[in-house]
Amino acid sequence: MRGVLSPLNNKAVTFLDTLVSTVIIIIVVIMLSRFQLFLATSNQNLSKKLVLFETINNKITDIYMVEDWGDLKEETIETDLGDVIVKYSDYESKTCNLTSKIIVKFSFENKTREYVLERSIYFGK
Amino acid sequence: MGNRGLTTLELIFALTFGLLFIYTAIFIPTELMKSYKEFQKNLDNTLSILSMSKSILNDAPLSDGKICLNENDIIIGNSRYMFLDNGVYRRNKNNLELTKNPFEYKLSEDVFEITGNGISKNNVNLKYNTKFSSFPCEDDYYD
Repeated sequence: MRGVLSPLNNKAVTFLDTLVSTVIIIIVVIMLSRFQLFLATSNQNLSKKLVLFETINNKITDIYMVEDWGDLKEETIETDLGDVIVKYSDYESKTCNLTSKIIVKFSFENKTREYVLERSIYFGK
Repeated sequence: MGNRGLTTLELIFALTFGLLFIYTAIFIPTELMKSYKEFQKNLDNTLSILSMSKSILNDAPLSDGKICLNENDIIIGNSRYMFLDNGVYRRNKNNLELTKNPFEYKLSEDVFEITGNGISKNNVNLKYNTKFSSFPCEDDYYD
């Protein structure tokens, strides 16, 4: 009896051994791949954050150098990681504080950021 | 015949799994470590650039539109910014290292401009009005 079952058991054990090893290797590979993917996504997000920060910072600097904010029109800024859409709204040429004011919206990948810019009406005079 | 075939098959399986195991055990963790180091470096770079920008934007309103050059340094408000080969430093009451990467600056009448390495060998170019500085501190956009 033992002589008959022993080879079968050995084969079954070998098969199970191989199966378990395969499953473990697959699990480890999946875990490592997911971590790798997480790092790649985080890197990409960092790049996007920096590009967006640079774009917004420089655009606001440019806006402050424009003499008449009334002339500003919607525009698209092309970056390596996608387009940033700049929209202007609610321009007030003279507020009660003797300032001119404008709202600027930056849209990037379905996310929008809004800034209220204000400066003296005597700018450039 | 049958036994020999089975042995060859087993050998192929054993070799395949062996190679797969070695690849998994050595190559993938090494790659992961490299990626993690690169990510850490990028994160440090990004944070230092944001920190430098925040610092300049805090100091610029105090300068009352007078950002000036003093030998090789830039004076913004009450702070002295030193653009050295081993990074950018801000000297106020204390010495503060803002970045570890070197940055170059350009100062014109209305605009103060700095350029340096950003992420993945891309350059970062930041411009600041010397007379206006209303750009607020940022919350994380890509958490």
